[in-house]
Amino acid sequence: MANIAPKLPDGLKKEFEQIVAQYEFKRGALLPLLHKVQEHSGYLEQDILVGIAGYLNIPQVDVFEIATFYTLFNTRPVGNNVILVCDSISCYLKDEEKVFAQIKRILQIGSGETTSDGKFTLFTTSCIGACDRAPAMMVNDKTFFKLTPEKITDILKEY
Amino acid sequence: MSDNLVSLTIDGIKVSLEKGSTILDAAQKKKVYIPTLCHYPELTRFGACRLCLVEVEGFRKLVAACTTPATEGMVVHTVTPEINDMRKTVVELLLLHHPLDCLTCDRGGDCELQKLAFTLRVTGDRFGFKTEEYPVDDTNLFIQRNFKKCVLCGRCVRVCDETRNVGALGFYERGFSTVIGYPYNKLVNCEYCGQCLSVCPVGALICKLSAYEARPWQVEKQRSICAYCGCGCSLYLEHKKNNLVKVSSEYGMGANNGLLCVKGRFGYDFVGSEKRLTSPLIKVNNSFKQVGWAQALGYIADGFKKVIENKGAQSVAGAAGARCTNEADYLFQKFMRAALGTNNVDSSVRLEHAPSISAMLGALGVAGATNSLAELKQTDAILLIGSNITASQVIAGIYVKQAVRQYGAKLIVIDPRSLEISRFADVWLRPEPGTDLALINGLLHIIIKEGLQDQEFIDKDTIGFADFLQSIKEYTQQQVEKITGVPAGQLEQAARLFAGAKTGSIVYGMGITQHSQGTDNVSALINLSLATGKLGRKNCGIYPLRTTCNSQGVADMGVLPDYYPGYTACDDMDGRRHFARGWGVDLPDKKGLYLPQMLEAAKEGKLSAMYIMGENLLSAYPERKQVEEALCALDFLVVQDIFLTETAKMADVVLPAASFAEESGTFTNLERRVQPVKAAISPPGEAKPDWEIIAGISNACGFVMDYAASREITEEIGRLAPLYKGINSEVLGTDGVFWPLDDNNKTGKPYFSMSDFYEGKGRFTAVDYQSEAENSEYPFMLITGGILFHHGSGAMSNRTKGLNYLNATGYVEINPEDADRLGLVEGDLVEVVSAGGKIEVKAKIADRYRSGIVFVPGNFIDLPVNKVMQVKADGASHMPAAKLTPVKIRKVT
Ligand code: SF4
Ligand code: SF4
Ligand code: SF4
Ligand code: FES
Ligand code: FES
Repeated sequence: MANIAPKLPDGLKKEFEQIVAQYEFKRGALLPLLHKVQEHSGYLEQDILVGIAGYLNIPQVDVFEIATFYTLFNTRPVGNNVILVCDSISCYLKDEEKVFAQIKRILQIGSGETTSDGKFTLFTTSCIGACDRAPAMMVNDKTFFKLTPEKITDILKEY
Repeated sequence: MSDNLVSLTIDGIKVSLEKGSTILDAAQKKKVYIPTLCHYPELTRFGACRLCLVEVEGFRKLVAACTTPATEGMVVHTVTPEINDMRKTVVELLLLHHPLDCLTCDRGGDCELQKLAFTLRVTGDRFGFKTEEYPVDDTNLFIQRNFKKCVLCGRCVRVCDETRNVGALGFYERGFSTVIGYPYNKLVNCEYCGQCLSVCPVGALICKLSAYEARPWQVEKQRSICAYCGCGCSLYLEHKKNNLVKVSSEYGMGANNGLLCVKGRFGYDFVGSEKRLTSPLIKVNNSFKQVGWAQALGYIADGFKKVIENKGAQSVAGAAGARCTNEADYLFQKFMRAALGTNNVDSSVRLEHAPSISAMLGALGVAGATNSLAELKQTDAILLIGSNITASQVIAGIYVKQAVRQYGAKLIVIDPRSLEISRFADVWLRPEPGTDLALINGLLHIIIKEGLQDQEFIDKDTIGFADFLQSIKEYTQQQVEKITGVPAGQLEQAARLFAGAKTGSIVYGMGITQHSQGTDNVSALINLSLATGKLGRKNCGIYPLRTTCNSQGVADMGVLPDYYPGYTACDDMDGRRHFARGWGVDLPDKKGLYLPQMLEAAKEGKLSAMYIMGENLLSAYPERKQVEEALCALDFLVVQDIFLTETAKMADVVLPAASFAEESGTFTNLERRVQPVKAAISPPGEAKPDWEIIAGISNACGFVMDYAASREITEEIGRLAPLYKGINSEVLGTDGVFWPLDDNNKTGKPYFSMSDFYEGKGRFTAVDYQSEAENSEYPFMLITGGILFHHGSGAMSNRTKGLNYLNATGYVEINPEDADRLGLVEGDLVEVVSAGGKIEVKAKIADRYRSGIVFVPGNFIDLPVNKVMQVKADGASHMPAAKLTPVKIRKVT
């Protein structure tokens, strides 16, 4: 609709147009647009979500639903590295809780929090499709398998 | 067995029903009970709650009855120990985080979860662990959201998205954290219709306006009709001890299919306002004195008699609003005509759709929407012009939105404003304000030029095509683009879309009628229907959007100076004889004065007494000064209303009337559906139903009106008014009937066939656009209109807590560019000045309008925008038109 001046991240305009052009229905571009924004700003700012809704001519709530549903999207600012620990059934049975406790102890943060140096943000997530090598977690794009509290110490050192 | 049927067995009972139905449909058809929670009729099948699990022989697992298609030969069991256990577990899981608050929950006794727990004997939570804390949102006066109680059935989300097409709610997060959420924790685009409340099965969404007023078993429910707009929604008035405590509705009922808007659902408390008039008042030495009915009626009879003796019957006049029942309206004009002997009787229809009446009577011989509202959903192409439909006739607006989103209709919106409905348009034309006629003629020009007209229909079913063809010759794309500012390409697109569709309807509002060429505008729209063959059959019609609950009815009842009930012309001899015989008196043979003429006559001293019923004329009339001067000049003024309005304050006698919730009778909605209105409670103090008051005055004047109940008036109307022939309380039932009825059709005609029109034909009318001179001293164009949260001139809606909470005062809406230029920021006080007057009002900056246009809502008693508006009469219909007024804007410093 005309007359909506959506707040979109500067510099992404062009890429947005390219993405939208690939879809028959504009609204189909929602997920890729969200990925693009997160790649660009690290998280999805509320005003930008509203901007995207205006841009795609869909209700704002549709965008918020998607953005909050996927744990891979951050709706708040996060640290440089995002840790997602799977707490679904297979991982849970394989002592995910101990792994998670270890991370919390080392980083001194709880779920949803960011370390004071801004290095890590910690979340739990549901199944990430690595049940055969449970327990598993992701740090940014990388997945780690068959975790133990000992392994955690080493992994975190890498960042 | 026919191809599109399937048969199956449920608990040993054979059912056959349409293919595509679910097991649940089949069970419901045979009244086999299957518990459900997330299922709701007409919403998409959701299958989320798993309460409706059933066993199907040959299937490995239990399946959800609400989503599983019924197939041939299926054998279904709905009661087995396993199913019972599953259902119990589902409820126990729901109770994990559901507080057992039933004692104090507003939904106690009316809660689906409570019923399920009771039926399945679930006593509490078996699992003993608590999930997370959920928020309670109590920030809003209307709706409290308590997500601890939410069972995530998603009905609210679906109804808001699929039915209302608003999309204010959604599911946020996932897993245990899932909540019903909204952007920024605010209901950004919520329209406060409360539909989500009405579908919520539990106490997660509570209407705070009515919370804790009553337990479900303490209230009585009276089905009736909404008192606001012309959609005529059916609703329940829930009352306890003579107080309205709530308005509710039920899926499927009435013209509204159980939907209501914010006004209908939450705007009822004016009924219980302390400011209601409770006793007759007589003005003595400029102040009102309470008197008894007998004294008031005697005083009025003397007052009218004196004027008539001195100056003749033509020196009195009556004007009625559009909020009273047909029965009151009918008696009102009967009183003026038969008891006082004058045709000087008019209604506020003069201010909204008089042009529709004159154009439609001229071209078709009927005055009213030709088709029903529900048909809009099935129409292939809808042309919507001059209406903010989603604000002023919400349910009609919903049907248009549903037509587009759920049924794939094409929508053409013609309006300079950026409106909520514009978002749904396939083509949106934004003509310069006031140039609609040129635009419609332009569309017709294209249709003819490209040969898109329905020539067969034109030849067979219409008259006057040749003259009409001449008249649109000059409306070439270039010419029309120049006048309207709409690019030729868009014009072509719209013309092709509408002409090319199999079925199409035209829907228009007061943007079309409130114009000095209002009648011509409507005629042009009728031409468009005729040229494209989109009239006289199902899903092809023309809809004037009437503004008030009985706008259609008050005109049908002959509260018009030129027509008796049912549009029998006053100067038609046979018609006059018919009514003279029916009423047992001689009737005046000249047509009476139109409302604007009444005001003129009063100022000139030719009119000396007036009787005004149910209208705050001072606010409703587009030029306030006219009314002030006219009413001041009268010798005698009687005003009958529910509040001491500004108009009532000017009266010599004020009569306290019943509100819609206290009066019985009928309203006729904008689709010609005559519907029963039923009193739920009794009026406050001495107030009485309008019809009783009129009968009282008439009796005091010596013209006997003897009715025991409004029902008897309904019957008299059914006997005398041709259009209402055969309508009486039995025929009306609960859903009402579409006029006219005929012998073999007792529910009336939802749509007109060509044979229902005068001589079975549609008449083309040649109409020509006249441009208006620009005025550089007043560079802005002022548009007035209604907003979602209020109605009419605000007499009822301004006196409700809920609607005022949403929007308490008026404003002037200015485009950001103009605001910049004038150095205005939101909230600045500005003066809006026209050649006629000025008002001071706060500025609201918004980009719905183009630069050069400002908007002031006409819905607020304390913002008399009619001090500024300037009237230009539409010659054909005597409409005092004032949609557009040239103004200038000044910042008040
Ligand atoms: S009140 Fe109406 S518009 Fe608002 S959220 Fe509920 S259903 Fe949607
Ligand atoms: S708020 Fe009510 S209607 Fe909406 S999901 Fe929860 S229980 Fe269902
Ligand atoms: S105001 Fe109109 S749309 Fe709203 S509930 Fe009343 S009749 Fe229906
Ligand atoms: S349950 Fe953890 S990866 Fe599947
Ligand atoms: S009613 Fe069938 S799953 Fe909810």
